[in-house]
Amino acid sequence: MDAPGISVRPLVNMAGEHVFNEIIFDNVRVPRKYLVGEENRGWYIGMTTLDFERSNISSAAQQRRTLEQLVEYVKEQGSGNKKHAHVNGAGNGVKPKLAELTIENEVGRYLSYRVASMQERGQIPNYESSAAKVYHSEYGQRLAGAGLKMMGLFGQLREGSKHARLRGRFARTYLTSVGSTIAAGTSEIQRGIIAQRGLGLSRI
Amino acid sequence: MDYRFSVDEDAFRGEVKEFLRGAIPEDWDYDPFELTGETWDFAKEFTKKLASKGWVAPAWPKEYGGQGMGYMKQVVLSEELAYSRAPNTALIGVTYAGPTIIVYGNEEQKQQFIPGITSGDIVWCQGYSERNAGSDIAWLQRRAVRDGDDYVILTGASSWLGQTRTRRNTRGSATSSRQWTLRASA
Ligand SMILES: Cc1cc2nc3c(=O)[nH]c(=O)nc-3n(C[C@H](O)[C@H](O)[C@H](O)COP(=O)(O)OP(=O)(O)OC[C@H]3O[C@@H](n4cnc5c(N)ncnc54)[C@H](O)[C@@H]3O)c2cc1C
Repeated sequence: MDAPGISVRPLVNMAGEHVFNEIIFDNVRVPRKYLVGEENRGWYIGMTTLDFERSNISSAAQQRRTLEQLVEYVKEQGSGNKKHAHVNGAGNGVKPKLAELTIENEVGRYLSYRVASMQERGQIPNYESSAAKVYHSEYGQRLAGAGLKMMGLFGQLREGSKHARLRGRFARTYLTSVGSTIAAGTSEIQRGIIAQRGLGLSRI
Repeated sequence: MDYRFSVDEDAFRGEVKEFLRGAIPEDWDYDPFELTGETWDFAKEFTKKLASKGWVAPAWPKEYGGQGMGYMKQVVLSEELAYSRAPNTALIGVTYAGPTIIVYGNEEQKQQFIPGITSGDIVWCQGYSERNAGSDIAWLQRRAVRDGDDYVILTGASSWLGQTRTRRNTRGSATSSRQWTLRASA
């Protein structure tokens, strides 16, 4: 990253975080010994790299943790612990919603296990990993949105406010979960893969 | 069809949980993209601990610093790390860069890059996308042109977007050539 000709511009996401950058190359010299594989085969090598990206198993486990935190929050509301003061629509919409989110989390986990078990047997997943990717990233948005609502006005506060709950996790992930449906192939692209490779439908 | 993990895999899960209880504070609740400053330093330290268990790239063959661990055990490990929000800074190196170099790289490249991945010393990033080539990645405009012993990555008509997971504090010569290693052959 210190080579002459490289410049880095920050890309700030809509949650106000800076974790990505735009990298601009201007006649950057790279010694030939860093060429991986043969010249002009980069496309195929690049595609191999992307394949590894699509077999992610971690999302469901992270989301399970978040869901458990939300359930704890709701439980404490009934216990008189003022640390977690407010649940929107308690007793009415909240319980079935949490039940639904739990079912969905399990579904996501099994979609990932399916990809894993294929890889274990040496098969190469393609539309199966797309299904898991769409599901996890969109579930992440539903989970963040549901948590935000349940916490009422508290849910909207970010870390730094003394009224923020769970470090403002839901206010933050409500914003960051959007990017997950874009990164590593958008939901539309993944659905296209499922339609073509999974269902054998034509491209257009 | 058996949906259960084996006795061995369950025992391994217990071992991982115990390691994590010792390595991560109970109130740790940061997501990967939130890490900066102190939390990033902790993440680097944690990744070294993970490396000392041989758990940074457990499924890789021993010759590449892995343990040749069975696939489902690796799944168990990933699950537990994710559940505890373990800040693993080796992830991109292990999931994207490493396998590519193991499959396509020559011996010298493997010697140079693989140990830094499995030890948790080098943080990698990934730069494919350009401003006009995201979904349609076949439209990439970036070119590397041979010039003597170098490749020169040329600037195209539009500026190129390599949207990478480069963090402020990982910018160093270390991160650099990695990314180009992938790009130089594009
Ligand atoms: C959080 C995050 C992290 C990222 N990390 C990296 C990284 O580490 N390295 C890297 O190189 N890149 C990274 N990216 C870039 C990412 O790969 C691209 O944003 C993504 O591929 C989409 O491309 P685009 O943004 O150019 O959108 P476009 O491709 O322009 O898409 C715009 C819209 O059109 C739709 N669309 C496009 N083509 C079709 C089609 N054929 N059929 C139907 N709908 C279509 C899309 O679904 C989308 O809604 C990241 C992006 C995000 C948001």
